[in-house]
Amino acid sequence: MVRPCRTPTGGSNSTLPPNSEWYWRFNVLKAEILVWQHLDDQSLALNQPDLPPSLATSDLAVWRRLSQAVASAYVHRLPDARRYLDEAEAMAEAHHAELLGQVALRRGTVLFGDGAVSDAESAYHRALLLAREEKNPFLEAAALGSLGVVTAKQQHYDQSLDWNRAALQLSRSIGAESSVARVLGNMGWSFLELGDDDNALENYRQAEEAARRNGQIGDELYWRTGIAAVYHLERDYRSAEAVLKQALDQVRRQDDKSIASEYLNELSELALETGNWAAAEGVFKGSGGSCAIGWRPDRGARHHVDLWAHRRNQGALQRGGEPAPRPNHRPKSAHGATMGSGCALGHAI
Amino acid sequence: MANGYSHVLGDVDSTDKHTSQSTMVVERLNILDVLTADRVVARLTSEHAPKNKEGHVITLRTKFENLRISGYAAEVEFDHSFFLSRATFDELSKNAAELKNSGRMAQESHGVILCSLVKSLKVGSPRTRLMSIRIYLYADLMSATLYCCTMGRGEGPRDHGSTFREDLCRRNAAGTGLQKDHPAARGSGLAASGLVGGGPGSHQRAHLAIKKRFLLACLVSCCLCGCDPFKRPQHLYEEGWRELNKGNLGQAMQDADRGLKLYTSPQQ
Repeated sequence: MVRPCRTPTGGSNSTLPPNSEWYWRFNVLKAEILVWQHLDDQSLALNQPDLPPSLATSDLAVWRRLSQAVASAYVHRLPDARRYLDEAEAMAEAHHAELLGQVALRRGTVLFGDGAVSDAESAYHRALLLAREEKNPFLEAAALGSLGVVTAKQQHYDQSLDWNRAALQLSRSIGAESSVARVLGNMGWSFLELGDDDNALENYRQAEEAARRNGQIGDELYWRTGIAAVYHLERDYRSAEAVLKQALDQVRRQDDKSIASEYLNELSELALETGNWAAAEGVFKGSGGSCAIGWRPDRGARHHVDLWAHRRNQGALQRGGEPAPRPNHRPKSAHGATMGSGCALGHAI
Repeated sequence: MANGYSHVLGDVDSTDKHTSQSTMVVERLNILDVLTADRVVARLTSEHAPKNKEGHVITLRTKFENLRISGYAAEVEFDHSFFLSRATFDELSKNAAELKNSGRMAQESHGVILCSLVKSLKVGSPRTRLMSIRIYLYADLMSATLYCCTMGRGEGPRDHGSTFREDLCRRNAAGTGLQKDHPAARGSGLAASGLVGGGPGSHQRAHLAIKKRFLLACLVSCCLCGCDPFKRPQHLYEEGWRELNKGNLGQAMQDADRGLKLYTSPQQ
């Protein structure tokens, strides 16, 4: 949930040039929007200049740090993210208790991205509690949706769907369309894991459409990987590949490289699945060997294994020997939450 | 509003058919933070072949882009086909009753048909009902009123401003309905300017009242407020956050950019 910062009060700001505070307010607002669009480097650049001393303890300063924390987490600078969060929390505790719920929500996001799932869950519960105390439905919807993600990560998919349904209902009732989009996508993930491909595909499609409507570019691209995953599971490789290739150029322009990594991983998996080794090599090289970056290093490692097996087979065949058996590679069964979706959901549904 | 412009163009082809078009555009319309639209385009195109008694006026490309009422998306459906399929005043006149029966504004008096181009309006919020918008300016904007009449060659509107003011006073007193003593019936204002009866060589003319009223409405709004509402940062700022909360990132970004444009960096 994001809320307007307090408006300028004059008085203490009298030393600022005229309208200076409005400049900073619009600046922080824009940086926050950029985070939502997954244009994280741009957001960080916008928030780079320090606020004037008169605004150093204002709500703006807290919001700035919160945006920086999530943007840093998205671009995998976790130490920075943690530092920004600590500073935001200290400022909020001292001057802006009303923002502690936001701090808790984003702490959950950063912890989740760091793999500390149970700590993230605690943070989300705290955010939910504060949201209800403050009667802040936007924050409450965000916390509910984030708990949905965190429970899905713990493979409690039914419980996740319950959280998500509550989040969806609340989000729709308050017109929080971006939350609706993210919750739908995350529900798609749970359905996929539960083997309900039809519902998974439907939810992913709705999420993609809603994200496109809202201008959530990163999310729109990300939910495509969910759609591709469903096709992949159904062994409709051509459709899966088409969905991904259609937006590959756009994905490469995103600051959040985890989305590009997802695309490349998925494409190389598809190539491996169909025995198109050359294409798999091409995708892997095209990624600069970086398929393992991001939040799913296990998947990158799997590609190494497959490609290694392929090369060994080639060598064996050249020597006239029997090909080595392929590692047991099956279509991925899960559309895992990455910072591009699950954690994004955590920061500001 | 951020920008407003208009242009006209015309042409005569080898068969002496006259074609003319007028377009008026208002960008980033914002009336008291209640009614907003990214763009409002009013366009009339007239095609008049010498063999025809009247020219054919169509309204295609008239549109609202991202029209919002109290922040809720409003979808306006224009009935362009009504004017496409009815080329003359007589044909319009025959169908005025049909319009009225369907619940739309359609009144004919002294050779003038006053009707709305709007076929339907859907507002996103269940709590927002168009009929609850009693402010005249909004009601008239939404109705996209058309004055249709015949007019002798060379005749033209005389006093749009007075028509507007008279309309304003009249409607404020009696809701949004058209009164029997509408300027058209009293021989004043645009609709009465040399229109009654038509006659040989007359043209069908349509005046999309929305065109000039948009500008006037904005001006009136500004005067009533005593300031320029588009330069009040707090509204813009809060609107930006509201849009962000709702997930309308494009609109939120536009608000932020506009704010940054108005309030440049103190370091610059």
